[in-house]
Amino acid sequence: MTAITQRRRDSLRRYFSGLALEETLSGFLFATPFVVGFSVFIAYPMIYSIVLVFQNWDLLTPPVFVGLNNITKVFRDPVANLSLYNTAFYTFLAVPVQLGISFLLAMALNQPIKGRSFYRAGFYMPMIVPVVASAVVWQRVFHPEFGLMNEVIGWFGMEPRKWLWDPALAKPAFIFMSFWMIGRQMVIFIAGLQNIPQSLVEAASIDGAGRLHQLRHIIIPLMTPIIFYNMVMAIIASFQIFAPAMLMTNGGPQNATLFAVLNIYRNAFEYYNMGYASALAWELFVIVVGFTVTQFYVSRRWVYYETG
Amino acid sequence: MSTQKFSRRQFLLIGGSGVAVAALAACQPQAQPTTAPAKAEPTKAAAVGPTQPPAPKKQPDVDFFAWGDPVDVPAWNKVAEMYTQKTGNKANVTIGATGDFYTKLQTMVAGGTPPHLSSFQGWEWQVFADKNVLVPVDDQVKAAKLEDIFIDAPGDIAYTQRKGKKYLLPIEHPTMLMFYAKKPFQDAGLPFPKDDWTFEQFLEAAQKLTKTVDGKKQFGYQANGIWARDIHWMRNSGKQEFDNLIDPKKSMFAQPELAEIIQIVASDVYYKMKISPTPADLEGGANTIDTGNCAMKYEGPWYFTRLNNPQLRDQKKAVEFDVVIMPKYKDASRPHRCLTSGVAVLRTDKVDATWAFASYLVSYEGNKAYSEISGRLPNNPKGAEQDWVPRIKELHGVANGRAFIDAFKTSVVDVVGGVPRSKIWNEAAKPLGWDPLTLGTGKAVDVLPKVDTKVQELLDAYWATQPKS
Amino acid sequence: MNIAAKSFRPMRTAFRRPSWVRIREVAMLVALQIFMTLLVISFLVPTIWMVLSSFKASTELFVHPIKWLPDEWLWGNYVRAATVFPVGFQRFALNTLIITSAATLGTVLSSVVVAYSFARLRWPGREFFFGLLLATVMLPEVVTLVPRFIMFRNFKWVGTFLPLTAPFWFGTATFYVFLIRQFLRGIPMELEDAARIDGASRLRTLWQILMPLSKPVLATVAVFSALQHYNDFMGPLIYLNRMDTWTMALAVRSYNSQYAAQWEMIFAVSTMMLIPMVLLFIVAQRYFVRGITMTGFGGQ
Repeated sequence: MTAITQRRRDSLRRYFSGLALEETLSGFLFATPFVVGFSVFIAYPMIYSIVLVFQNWDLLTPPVFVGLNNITKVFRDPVANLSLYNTAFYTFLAVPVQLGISFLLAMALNQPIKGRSFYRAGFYMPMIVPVVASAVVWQRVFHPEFGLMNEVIGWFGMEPRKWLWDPALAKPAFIFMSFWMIGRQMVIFIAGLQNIPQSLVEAASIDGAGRLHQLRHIIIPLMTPIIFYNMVMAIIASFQIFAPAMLMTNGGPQNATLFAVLNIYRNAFEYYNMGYASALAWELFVIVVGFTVTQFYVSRRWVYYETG
Repeated sequence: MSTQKFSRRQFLLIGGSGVAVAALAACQPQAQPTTAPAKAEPTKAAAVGPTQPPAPKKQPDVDFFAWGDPVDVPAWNKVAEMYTQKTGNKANVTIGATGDFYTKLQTMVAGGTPPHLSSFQGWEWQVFADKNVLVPVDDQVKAAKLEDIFIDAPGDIAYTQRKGKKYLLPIEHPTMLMFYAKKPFQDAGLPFPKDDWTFEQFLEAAQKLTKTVDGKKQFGYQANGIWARDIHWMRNSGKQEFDNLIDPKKSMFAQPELAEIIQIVASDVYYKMKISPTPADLEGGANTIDTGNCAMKYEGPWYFTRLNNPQLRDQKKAVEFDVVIMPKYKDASRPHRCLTSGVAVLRTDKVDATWAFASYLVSYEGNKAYSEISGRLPNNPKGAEQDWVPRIKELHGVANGRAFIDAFKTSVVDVVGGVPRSKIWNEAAKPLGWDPLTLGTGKAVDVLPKVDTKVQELLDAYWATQPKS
Repeated sequence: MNIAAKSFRPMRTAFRRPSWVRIREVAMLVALQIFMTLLVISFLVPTIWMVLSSFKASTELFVHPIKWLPDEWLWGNYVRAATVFPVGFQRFALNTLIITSAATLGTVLSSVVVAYSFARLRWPGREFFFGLLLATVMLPEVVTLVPRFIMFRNFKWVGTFLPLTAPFWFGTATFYVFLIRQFLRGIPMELEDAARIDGASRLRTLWQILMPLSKPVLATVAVFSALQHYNDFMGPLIYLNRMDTWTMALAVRSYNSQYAAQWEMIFAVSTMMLIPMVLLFIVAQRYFVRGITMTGFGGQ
């Protein structure tokens, strides 16, 4: 017993004795902004928002205690459930295709073609366009009568569609729009591909492995950590889609593009129902964290980490 | 050592600029009125003669959160300027974009930095009054002898008073009538609509006016496609969509008469009769009455300047038009919607200063200036009949201006109460009703019951929070 | 994640292959080149169309077939767009500049300080707080949205620029702190030790030695942070109510809803907002790429 406590005391003493004391104090001091910032702007709001869940408050009149009402409402409200469905629909259709496109583009940019920096810049460019500006552009692309989209599908002999005005097509339109924003994923994949040792690929070539075989058995397995990382980040980001929906369709038509964050924003700043909005936000948080943790567990099966 | 001095200077430089930027960021952005600064100080000192009124009291500055319709903005600024010149006190006009005006206002109030005076439309302020955000102004109105800006018609009373107290100071009492562009009628050889025309005649004329000329589409009617603007048709069917238009308890959208007329004006005009450009088309702005592609539109006086004003006439881009009262439908008394809007005083520590400015804004003088620039109908009988009617004829070519004033006599309200019209629209009427109708994906008889269910839910939720009477 | 940004080289195999294989490879590469060119054009086309359309008259915007170049280059559209608002567009630009600079400066300075603590200094609880920092990645911004609004309301900050700038002076930006920390760890301790022996304090060591060495990574952080704050929409939407406090993001949106029929003006305003970021991107492209590669984060 005493040996362990003695060791613990020693380890603490490590920080507080003599010269190390200065380092420890400096460490605290320099980390203070983070500690303060985290407490004030992250931890305290999160705790406070739990308190809000049990109240109905419109900020103009005093808050009213409502017990578990907001929590049950979160599960019963058809609009809230619809918003989750919309978000899930969008995320689980958009992310796999995004990953596929960005991976293929990264592979293509890994080939000896000319002007690769230019292509890389071009594919990344849409990510720096402000979301308000790209919303305007895409509204024009999806215009039912004069839009680029209908023009292009007309070349393939298809009828013009109503896109953002059609409840069934609004979400697919958003999903398509998200393919424009694969620049970040692509750049990460490129970096990952560059890290694959040439020697492995060459050895496989010498042994007669075709390109496809190389892809399946060398490149993809080595890229799995990066694929996993991109997947996690893309899912977290897609779950939070807000600005395009608010700017282009405002949740319509018929609530087809009412995504979770937009619903929360509305309940908070349009209906001034702070308690219910907080409950919805916590629901989303639990879902996001749950998904991420699940992904980490499942990743043990398919992600191949090199030693170390 | 020299390196030491350099580093300290660097540190101070960066730290100083950081503080400067932070200070810039932290300072309250001043509301920038685009009015001229007050040159009125000398006039106070120059008060001479016994007939001069007593020098007005020096009041603190007030913040006016003003409705940001493009025709209104110069009007607000002018009146604020005139106020400063007259009294030496300042009113800071900050413009709120119309798109989410009430959201922003609510955020400001909830955020602890409310304006002192705010624009309101007659059906949106009741929520704020119920939450004690607004100040009733009966006493001040009586003291300032401003009673004539209120009209004794049910529509106006509902839009300016609540529970017996006046809150809204009207700056206009408009109604909405049918605007018609003269050229399409002349080209088609059709007579202009007359006061006694019927709904069937209206549809017939619209259909005759819908054709394609030289590859350009012409439409007979530019539909509005929103519940608020279809309310006129609904009330004229003899039924109303609530049990009571003031503080309703029951939602009654799904009545057969209402379903019938809503089906026509919210859906069939686009897809069955095709007399109106579709909502998607209208969003693009290519086919409207402004561009000369539509013959008729249900609109209000604020629309005059867009169609026809001296500058547009010079550029030969003006649309010659006139107005006519809405066609006869089922209700013989031909109710029209009135849309009283104005300003209301918020409960802040500057109520007196705010009232000083607000009372000037709605006085004959202030209102005259406002109406001249914005084209809106003045709030007092003299201004309306003697100033406005001849002026709109001269400026905009509107000969039938009296129709607006007459229609007000049979005015009805949309709906007022603890649940604002915008909430009913955003949460129920639009997604469940008007969206499928205007998109052509739903029929009125099917969607209106769903609208009823949701609206009833909103009403019930509101009444659940009210003390049992 | 420790992927160093290597130079951008393609993959080549070293040994010779039969000529028919090589011809086939060359043909495929040419095909790929053409395909990639078309694809990248399709990525850039919507934005380019918007910029070109901002010079058109409104009648040229909604026509069949799509018009690319304007008949006449109407620079007047830009003048109109900048002045049609009661508050001139230059005000929006100024507001955006103030907010972006204040937030970016705060991010860079505070991230460096905090990263130094995590990278170089040993103190109890360091691993715990670093773990907290990493965990905030999973936190959707919306969870703290409402309570932060209420908090700022109590501070009386709603309607000012403070909610959009002050929180960034505390070094809570996960990716930037992480990035700088990784970088600092790569700097040899000898430099620091030498400074300590000369009597320099921690702050001076950080300031005079580590920061100049970190210029590349600080530039990366600054570029990304500037982009993030410049394009921020939700923050200004909630906190900036009076029109004279608006940023360009809110102004563009307002044009879109109010002047719905005048798309050429909307495009003009959007182009005006877009140009500074495009310039920044062209000038600082390698910082963008490095930033993404080293942190996995970049853009919206």
